[in-house]
Amino acid sequence: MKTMKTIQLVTLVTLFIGLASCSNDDDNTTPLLEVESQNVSNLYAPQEGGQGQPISGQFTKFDFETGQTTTSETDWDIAFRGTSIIVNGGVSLGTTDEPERTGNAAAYITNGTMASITEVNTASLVQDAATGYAIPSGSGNGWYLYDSQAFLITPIAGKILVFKTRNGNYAKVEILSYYKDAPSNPDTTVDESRYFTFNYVYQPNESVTAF
Amino acid sequence: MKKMKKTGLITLILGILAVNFSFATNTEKVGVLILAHGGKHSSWDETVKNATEALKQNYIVEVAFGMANPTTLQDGIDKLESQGVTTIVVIPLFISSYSPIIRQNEYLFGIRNTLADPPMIMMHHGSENNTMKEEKGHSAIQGGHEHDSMPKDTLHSMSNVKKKMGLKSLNFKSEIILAKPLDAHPLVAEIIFDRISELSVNPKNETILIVAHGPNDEQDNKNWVKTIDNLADQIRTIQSEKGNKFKQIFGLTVRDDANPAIYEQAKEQLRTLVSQSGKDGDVIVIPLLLSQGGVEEGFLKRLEGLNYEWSGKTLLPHPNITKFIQISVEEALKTN
Repeated sequence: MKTMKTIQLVTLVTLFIGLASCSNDDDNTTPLLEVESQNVSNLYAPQEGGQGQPISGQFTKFDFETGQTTTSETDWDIAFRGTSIIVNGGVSLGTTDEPERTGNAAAYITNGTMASITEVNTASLVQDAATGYAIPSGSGNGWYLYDSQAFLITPIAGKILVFKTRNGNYAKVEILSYYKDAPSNPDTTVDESRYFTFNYVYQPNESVTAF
Repeated sequence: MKKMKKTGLITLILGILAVNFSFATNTEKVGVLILAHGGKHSSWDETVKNATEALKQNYIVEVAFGMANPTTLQDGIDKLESQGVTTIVVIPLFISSYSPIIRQNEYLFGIRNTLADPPMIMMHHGSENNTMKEEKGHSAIQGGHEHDSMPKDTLHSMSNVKKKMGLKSLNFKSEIILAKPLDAHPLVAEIIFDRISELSVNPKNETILIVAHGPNDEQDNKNWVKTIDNLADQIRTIQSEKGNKFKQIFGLTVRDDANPAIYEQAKEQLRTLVSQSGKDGDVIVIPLLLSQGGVEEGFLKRLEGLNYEWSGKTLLPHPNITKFIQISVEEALKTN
């Protein structure tokens, strides 16, 4: 009888230790950070030259992690100058004032809405190259259309820009406007251009490809 | 002679078995319980009821309005069982499977053991049963469609009150078969295609936006959008068989009941898509709603000042919804 009780006690203790260690295992799992959805208004991206003249001027760099523009030479993910958008990955196209790529960023453009693009297609990611940017330039090639009659830059509906950040995280961007204060019907004689307004969703968990 | 007697006995036993089997089959009486949200205007409900009329030739039919409302559901079950129904096929005429309404239905009908979400006890506007009754075994609470009638803070505090309240599963003797909501059924894609065709002039120049109410939960919303994308794919296929493809088709949700930040974001995304698409072509907006009578007016408010084509026509009235119910009942009985 005493033996039985001892066995029961040992069984209970073993069960308790077993359960306790299971609990510890669970505690070691790092919880995923929440996906962040943000809006950026009036990010100014000036350029000099253009219209037949060499383009120059500093790019306005943006860091998805902080959600801020930055002048850092290394801690940036994407950068804007006029209608050009570059990534901190790959190599320079060689235009004047283009920053050196120090990270591992990449990008691609896909069709859909912010809600419908829920997974990064890593096979589609490309970096900037000497032959062209990951986000192609030119009307109808990338994120915008240029109306040569009204001199108007309009984001193309349903174009979502997907980025891999310099550190291997992911973000998706929907450009809303290229004009200051994002007017519904921009008038180029009144509204100042090269002011980006965009929505973005940043996946703060490294290598997680779902949004 | 002995052999004859043995054969006769076997025949007799088989006969009795056959009679019993036939008796069992004949005693099965099928009823259909249609579930639908219900609208502010009585016309919303009437349109749904009209779509179920043809079914009454073959089945005993009841309609229960509300958002997984135990009172109306129990009433529907009781009415069917009082008419001798032994099998009830429940047809949720809801746009998507991905919502707390559907999960609460599963709980109420005993498909789930526990509630997956905080309990919802709410009615639609104009319902005659807008109070939960204690005698039905449920706690008393006023009804009303919260997202239309209450500030969001009130909504949240009410939700907390409900969390503390119990919600019992329904009482039924019949066998219950719960069918699937509308989702991306080909019959739904056909209806939306018909709605687009009524407005379409030059498909290759037209961007189509299929706009649904949408849920609050992020994961649910992703699944809603996937479902609409599936419908969009089917519409592209139908259209490509006819020649010209539409320029683009997008599916999105307006997330009526979500918190203000999500609500505003969804609104801006809708406006942006309409505005951007309109710069380079025509825009057709199609509401993905069951019936006309309230929610679509909110869509119009969101789109104020923008150019787009709109008929406001919802899935009903359309013969495909009656077909959907009929097919769902037949499939449910077949797979049972």
